[in-house]
Parts: sequence; structure tokens; C-alpha cells
Amino acid sequence: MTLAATFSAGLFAQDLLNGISLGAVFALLGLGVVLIYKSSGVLNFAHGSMAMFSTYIYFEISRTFGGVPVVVATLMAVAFGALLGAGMYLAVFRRMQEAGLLAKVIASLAVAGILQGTAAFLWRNATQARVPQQFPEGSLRIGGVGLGHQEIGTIAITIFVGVALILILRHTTFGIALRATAQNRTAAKMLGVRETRVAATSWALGGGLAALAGTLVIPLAVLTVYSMIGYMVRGFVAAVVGGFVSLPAALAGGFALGAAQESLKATPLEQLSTVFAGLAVAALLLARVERFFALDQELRALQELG
Amino acid sequence: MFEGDDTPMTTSRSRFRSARFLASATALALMLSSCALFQPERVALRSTSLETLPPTPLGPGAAAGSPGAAAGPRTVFQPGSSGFAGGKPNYASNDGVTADVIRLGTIQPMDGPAAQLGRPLFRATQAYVNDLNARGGINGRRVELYLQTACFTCDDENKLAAKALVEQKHVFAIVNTYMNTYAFSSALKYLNSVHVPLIEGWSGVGDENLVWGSAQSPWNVYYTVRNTDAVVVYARWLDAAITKWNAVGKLPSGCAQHPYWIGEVYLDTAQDQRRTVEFANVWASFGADHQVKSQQAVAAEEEAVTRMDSYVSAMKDAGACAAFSATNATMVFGMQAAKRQGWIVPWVAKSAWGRAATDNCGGACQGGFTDNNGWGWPEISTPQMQQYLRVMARYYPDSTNDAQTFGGWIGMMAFEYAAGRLGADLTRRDLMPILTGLHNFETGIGATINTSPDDHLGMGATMMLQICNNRFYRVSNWLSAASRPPSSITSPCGWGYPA
Amino acid sequence: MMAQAPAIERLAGQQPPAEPPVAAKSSPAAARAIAVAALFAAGLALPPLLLDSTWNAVLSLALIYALMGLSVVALTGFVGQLSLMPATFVGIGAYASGRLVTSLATPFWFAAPLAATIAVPVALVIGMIALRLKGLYLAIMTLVFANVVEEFIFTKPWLVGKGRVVDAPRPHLGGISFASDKNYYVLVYLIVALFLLLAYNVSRSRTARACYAVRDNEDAAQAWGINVAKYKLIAFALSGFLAGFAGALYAHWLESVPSGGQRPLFGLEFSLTVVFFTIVGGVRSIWGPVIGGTIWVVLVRRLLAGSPNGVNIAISIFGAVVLLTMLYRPAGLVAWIGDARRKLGRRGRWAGV
Repeated sequence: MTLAATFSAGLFAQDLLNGISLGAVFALLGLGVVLIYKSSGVLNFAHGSMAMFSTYIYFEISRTFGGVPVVVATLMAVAFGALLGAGMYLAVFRRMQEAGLLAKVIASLAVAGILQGTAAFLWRNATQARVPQQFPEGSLRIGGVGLGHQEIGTIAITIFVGVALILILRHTTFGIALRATAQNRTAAKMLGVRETRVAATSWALGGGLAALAGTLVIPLAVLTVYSMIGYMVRGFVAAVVGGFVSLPAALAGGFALGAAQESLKATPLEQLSTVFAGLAVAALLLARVERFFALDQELRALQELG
Repeated sequence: MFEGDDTPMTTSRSRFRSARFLASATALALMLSSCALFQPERVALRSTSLETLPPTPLGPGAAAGSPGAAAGPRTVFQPGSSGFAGGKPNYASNDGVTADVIRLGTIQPMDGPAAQLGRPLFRATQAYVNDLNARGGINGRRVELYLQTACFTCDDENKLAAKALVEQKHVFAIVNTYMNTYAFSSALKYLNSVHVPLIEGWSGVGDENLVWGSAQSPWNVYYTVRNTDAVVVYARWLDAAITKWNAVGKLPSGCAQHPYWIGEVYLDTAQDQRRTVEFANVWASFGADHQVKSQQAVAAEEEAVTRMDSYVSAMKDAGACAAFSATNATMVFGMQAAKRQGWIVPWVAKSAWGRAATDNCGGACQGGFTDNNGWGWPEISTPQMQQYLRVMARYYPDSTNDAQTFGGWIGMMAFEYAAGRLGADLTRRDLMPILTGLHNFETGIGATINTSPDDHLGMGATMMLQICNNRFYRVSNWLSAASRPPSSITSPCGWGYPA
Repeated sequence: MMAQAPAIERLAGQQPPAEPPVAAKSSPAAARAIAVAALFAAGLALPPLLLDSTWNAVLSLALIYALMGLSVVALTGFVGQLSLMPATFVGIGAYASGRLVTSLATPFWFAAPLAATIAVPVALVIGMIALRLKGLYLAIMTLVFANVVEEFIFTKPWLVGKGRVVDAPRPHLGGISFASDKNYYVLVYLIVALFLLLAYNVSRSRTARACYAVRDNEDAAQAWGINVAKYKLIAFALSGFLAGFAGALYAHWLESVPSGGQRPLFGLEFSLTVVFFTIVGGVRSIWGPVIGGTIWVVLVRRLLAGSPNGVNIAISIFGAVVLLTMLYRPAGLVAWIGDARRKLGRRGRWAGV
């Protein structure tokens, strides 16, 4: 019924571009997941729900206060996401520093459930919710391919935010403190790193990134309680590229994942596209990719999980 | 054992001992429970009449699939006119029916992504029941509506919800539950086995549905436009649109040679596939110059969001001069992609009737055509439509009118009509032949319904709508497969080409 | 040896000479066995006798979910491997059992164990991958596998047949039909009880002790000469078998199983649910999944299904309960029950009961 899968350079290029814009969202989520993991050892299954809830806040703001400029509403949603993230840490995960990975996963699933249940109840009458784009309608076309303004803007913002985060981690006190904690908690605490503050800030950044991802991608789709789950799983894959500890790798990995996943669709291998994320993860993990990114102590710490 | 830690060790002999006690206990328990074990299951239907239904429909026989207002008597139904049989019954005649009460059940996804389906359906059903009771009920019996929430994709929840309604709430029938999903197949099997009717006034799919198709049973019915009729309507409309566009030279350059080359884009599901194939067959039957040059299957709704540019490019590169979309997502995102690429062509879609097309298409959907699936349209001015609007506004003032609320209303109208005709002796076995044998049944809200034992779908006509200036305009009357499109369009967007 | 304790000594109120603390004592052991037997009998007989058909269906579903959770216990509770794809093996068992019964005319009594066995090699493959991955990475890997299998394998006609649903009729044995919910409940109860008994015995075996050593400190266990790989694979195989059998029971409970693809049944969400309620119940106890599964099916998903927002609220409340459990008693609800029993006078786990 479909046309035979043939290779077409034009389609491939277009899919590649689509993939890069999708990959930007994966990268944003992956960065947040890495930050959260580095600071508190939590594999955050509530990441997608955090993004979803913040996007619903964006929806509510733009629906109720019609005069508010879209950019302001977005920033408010991101701020909400940051507060949500910090709040989640302070209320729940701060008390679980000594717990194993399993307990943390369950706790994050529980939080995800609470967020989903609450959002489904609060916005039970807002079926098929749509949110406004931050960038103007229309697209930029060059030759036979093009990308919407919203997508281009998402890519640009992601690169900007990603690079900024990498620099923060490298040069600021906070960044150094975070890396120290991730390497060796005990030593870091002895050196005076305030673990709670570092973790709360990391969670705030993670929540803000999740909110940013949601508000940038949902305008192109429909907002439901489950909208962000698929993206979150891809975000995990992006994080895996960096062994869950490297931000630059997560950033690049997200883009690479999106590009590869989408461009496969224009090749005879299009059937593999849907499972590409899975195969990529399998390959990365089996190749022990974390060796390239984790220092010895981090690796040992990671191996003590569960 | 309850420690949650390593369990203490015991010696093997004491384990053997436990096993012996266990074995004797089992034997004892089996003996005790043998009364339950060997009892036949109580069947919900207490009626002593035969389980099988008579094969012939009531009323003068009508050819199956006769579209629109065929020859023969019409039944115009207005809610409130039940009481044909007259007299208040004074004995219970069926499970779920007593002298004073008829119990109805409905299973809806009230949460999750499918809540946009379940909540409106529930609202319409509940509002109808409230109004029905205020009018005195059906032959003096008031209706009690029982809801069971079930997640749309949870097979086991759906089955338990069906069981709870039938075995615990003892409902007479289930209404307005979307049965055409694979996650409902288990529950549907159960309902068919206990002969509990399911009357659904809304469904997104027609006869191409493969779940219900193979499980089609005299015990369930839903009302929607038949696919084989609908695709003819869409094809004729697209043909007319192309002709008009071509006459004023608004088709893309290069199309003057082959204006009737089209592309189809659809979601890669069984029902969309069938619709696409049937449309292609009809299109080809219009002439050798009518060709489908490209068929694009979109793997998932997600892809409709991210990848539509590729699908549209493919259609454009194949030389298509117009597009048929088998479902709403591919139209909404397809027209946006088409606008990005500067491919301005006529579009016709099935069931893009929803806010995604008007609120969020960003003007790209301007001029596109779709249909109302045979359900209502608020601007139809009939007494039934006014009654619907009034009652919905009364019980759910914030409710919007959409496909689900109209469909749910129609389902309840059919039920009230059929149950009302039976009077005191209201049985499931007698109810179903009426519902599957409706002949020229006018609801004043949707298309005329004609059902038969081979065809429980009913509607042979639909209405074309156009997206223009971020709202829907009705641009036709009821069109059946035999109808011709009008010669002019009454909306500000005309036939859809840009000025 | 305990049964032979002289009656005279029991009458005299004396305990027979105590074994080292690990052994059970005579009359408390008998009392315990009677209590267990009585509970077993009650669970078997009371629901069919006292409850209606729907509740029997609900409870049998809860038990099937408990068996799914038991597979998580076998893996995570015994050897500490965090796998987030139990539903995948449930799915394999479900489709296999249905196809065997309908397409290959296999009686259920062979089809179900066979279907469970089919899940084992797949589990072993995952197990071999697990040998190379630890903790977090294994979790991510299984997560993604769950997704992949659902989209790829559970849509393939050689597994799920050509129609969109796989039929799985209820079994019968001689003259007894298990089509009714009460009869099927009895069947499910017996099978699950058998598996619990099996798990109970396994949990006390030498194999299990080796597994616990691997779980608690893999490197140390390796140093003591325990073949870590072997015990991990054994656990994976057992886990796959349990989940596969649960899948067979689930398929025949539903009687009609839709294939995967557009609306996944045995996908990530199902897997996470099973892991979730098992951990909440207590992952290191065979009763954890029973408690968790029953709470999930009965309290969270069924009890409030009659109201428009009920299930939503139940999920949120359950989430809050889970959070509290994870914060204050991560061993799960079984541990809370253990605490309560201790407070009611039992003298701790070594005190002969």
C-alpha cells in the first residue's frame, strides 16, 4: 500500500532536519535527567510528568491571562518547573540519599503518578488542550527542505542552554560542587560542599529544563497527561550516551538520537526507526560507554547501586 | 515470612509437616467449595424466553444500506414522545427493569488521553437521562444511569467494568460505550455471551472496523456513517473542488495537464487502510484521468506531528494536485506542512471535525473540507436540535458541542424510541430487533438511520463542513452516495482556493 | 522431629530442648501450620461461596497480578537485578498460550506450562546481557527492550496470528468447566498458591542463600567462590517462567487478547505498574506481590470505578502512600505488617514462629 521504500536525498535531508529538531527536545530532557542523577543518584521517572505539569501551567496561563505575552508565559512555566523540581527534591528525595536505586525509582514513579493524577483532575475538562507557539508561524525553506520557525527556535535555545550549562558546570562554584558530589559524596561533604543546596539547585535546573522542553515541543502537538512520556524515554537514552554523568555527551547524544531516528525513515531501513532508540541504548550499554565518561570513583559508586 | 528480609531457615522435616497440613487443608477446602465449584453460573438474563433473536427486522422490510430518505414510511422521533404503548407496567419483565426503573450502564474513559472521548459521551448520556426522567421516564419507568470508569487501553479494566455493570448493578443495557477498540474486545465478548445489549450512538469508524466486524452480534449496534457510502461522498466532493479550482487556474502549475491526480495520506491503522483503499477504488472509477499517484501511511500520530513535511513532499513530487486524508490528524498536520511547502491544493478529510482543525491549525487549514460523520450540526434548526441544545445547556452549561455529544444524544434517542415502543414488557430480546431494524429513522440531529440485521451501522449520509476563518461552516445538506455536491459554496472561503 | 515431641512435655508446658535459634519449635510450628492451612482454605473457598461472580473475577485478576509480581521478586528480591520488563514475559506467555490452545489445539494444561517455558530462553538472553550491566544501566536497558519488544515482536503475525486478537478460551477438565468466574478463581488460586509454595521452598534452599549473597555483595560472593553468573541466570529463568505462566493465566482470564502496536497491552506502562506494586508490597518477600497486587487491583482500580474521578483520586492517594513507604519503610508494606505482628506480641522472627 505504501510506496516502496527508496532512498531519496531530498526526503533524507528533510527527515534529518526534522530529526535534529526532535533531538533538541531529547537533549533538553537528557540534560535535566543527568543533572538530577549526578546530584542525587535518582533516575527520575517523574521527569516527563514534570514537563507535562509545567506545560499545563503554561496552558493555563495563556488561557486565563490572554494578554500575557507568550514569552513571559513560557518563562513563568519554566520558573514553575524549577520550583517543582526543587520542591520534589526537598520534600522527597533529600530524605532518600542513602536509599538504593530501586527505592528511588519507585519514589519517582510515585511522584509521577501523583503529578499525573493531579493534572488529570485539575484539567479534566480541557480536552485536546493546545498551547501557543513561542516563535512566529511559518517556516524557513532552502532548496527543497525547510524547518518551521518553532523548530529552529527550539534547536537554537537548546544549544544555547546546553552550552551555558556546560560552562556553568565547569567554571562556577556550584558546578564544581556538583561534580565533586557526583565523584565522591563523602569527600565533597568533608570539603564543605552543602549537599542539599547543590542537589536542590540541580533539581531546580532539571525541572526548568523539563518545563522548557515541554513548552517548546507541545505547541506542535496536543497536550495530554501522557504527552511527554515518550520524549522522556528518549531523554534517558540521550543521558545514557554520556553514561548518565556527562552533560556535553547528553547534549550531543540527544541531537544524534533524533537525527538518526528520523533519517532512518527515509532509508530502506525505515522499519528500524521505531526501535532505533532501543538498539542504540543496547549498543551503548554493551559497549560500556560509561567507561569513557566516568572517573574511577564515579564508576564504583555507580556499581554500588541497588 | 512477613519480615521483608531474609527468611529464617527451618529443617526439612518441619517443612514436610507443613506440607501435610497443607494437603489436608486443601482437601477439606475443596470439599467445602465443591458446592460453589459445581454450580452452574447464574446467568444475568432471568427471562424465560429464548436466547436467540428472530432474524427479521420489525417494520416493513427495507433493503439494507438504502441511503438517506428512501421510499417508505419515515419515523420522526422527538424525545418525549415515548409512551406509544401506554400504561404503567406493574411487573418486572427483565433483569435491569422493574416496575419503576430501567437501569442503564455506561463505560467511559474519564481520565487519560481518551477522556476527550469519554467525558463528552458521559455528559450527553447523563443530560439525556436527567431530561428523560424530568419528562416522566419511559412508559412511567425512570432511568438510572450507572457509570464505570475504565482506562481506554486497559483490557482487564474494561472487562471488569462490564461485569460490574451487568452482575452487580444489574443493568438492562449498556449505552454509548465505545466498543470499537481492541482493548474492548474482551469486554465485548463477555457482553455478547450474556446477551446484554450495547447501544452506541457514537463511533469514529464504520464498517471497516475489524474488531467489531468479526464480533458483530445481534446484541450490539452503533450509528455512524457507512464507510462505503462516505467515501463516495468524499470522492465526489474532491472531484467537484478540483474542477472548480482548475476552472479558475488555482491548481499548482503543472496540474493543468492532470488535475485529477491526487495523493492520499492516512494513519497506518486497519480502518484507515481500508478507507484509503476504498477511496482509491471509487476515485479510479471516475475515469482514466482520475489517478491516485501517492499513498502515504503515517506510522503513528506522533509521526503526523514530526514528519508530515516528508509525506507532503512525497505527494507533491508524485504530481498530486489534491489530497484526501483518511483521518483528522493527517489533515490538520498535513495542511500545515503543505502550507510550509507552498503546496496549496484542495483537501478533503474524514472526521477532522474538531478543535484541532480550527483553533490550532494556524490558518493553514483554511478552505479544507471535512464531514460531520453523520452526526449533528448545531445550526440545523429542527425541534430535536433545539431540545438538545437546551437540555445540554441546562445540565452542562460549559459543555461544548462536538461529535461525541451529538453521537451520544443519538444513541439515547434510539434507546428511548425502542424501549418506548415495547411498553410494559420491556425485554432485551425484543429491544434489539427494533434497534437493528430501524427504517428511515429521523432523529432531527443526524443522518437518517436505516439498519438491518446484516448492517448495524445505520447511517448512509453525511454532511460536508469547511474550515474557514477558524470555524466550521456547513456547506451541504445531507449527502448520500447518490447525491451530487452543490454547485456553489455558501461560506466566505468558497471552494477553498486563495483569493 | 518436632511432631515427635512427647505429649507429656507439651502438657507440662515445657518447650522441647531448643535447636539453635534457626529451628522452629513443636507446638508453635503446628499452630502456625494449622493457621496457614486455615487461611489457605478460607482463601480458596470463601470467595466462590460468599462473593459474586464479578468479585471472583476481580480477585482472580489480583492473584494473577501477584504472580507477575512474584517474577519480580524472583529477580530483584533474590539476586537484586533491577529489570523493568516483566510485562514483556507476561505478554510472551499470554500470546503463546492463546495461540497454542486455539491454533495448535493444545489443552490448557499443557499450553500454559509450555507458554511459560517459551518465555525462559528470552529471559536468559536478557540475563546474559544483565551479566555485563549493572544497576542503573540494566534498568535502562530493560526499559528500552520493553518498548522494542512491544512495538516489534508483539505485532508479528507468527506470534500474534493474523487477526487482531488472540482468543484464549477458558479450560475445562473432564466435566468441570472453568468458564465461570468462580471456577476460574479456584483454578487461579490453586495455581498461584502452588507457585507461592514453590517460591517459599526455593527461598529457603541453598540456591537461594547463594542468591542472597550475590544480591547483597556481588564481589564478596564472587570472592567466596559463588558462581555469580549461574545464579543470576537461574533467577532470570525462574522469573521468566513465573511471568510467562502469569501471562497464560491472564490471557485465559481475558479470553481475548489484542495484539500489540497502536495500543500496547504488554508495554512499558504495564511493566512499570507490576514493578511498582511489587516494590510497594515488599520485593524481598513472596507476600509482597500478593499484598501489592491486591491493593492495586482491588483498591486502586476497582473500588472507585463507579465515580467519574474516582480512579484518578485513588491513583494519587496510592502514589502518596507509596512515597511514605519508600521514605520510611522501603522494605515495603510486608515490613509494616511484620512490625504490626511484632507489636501484637510475637517475639520477633526467631522466636519459634
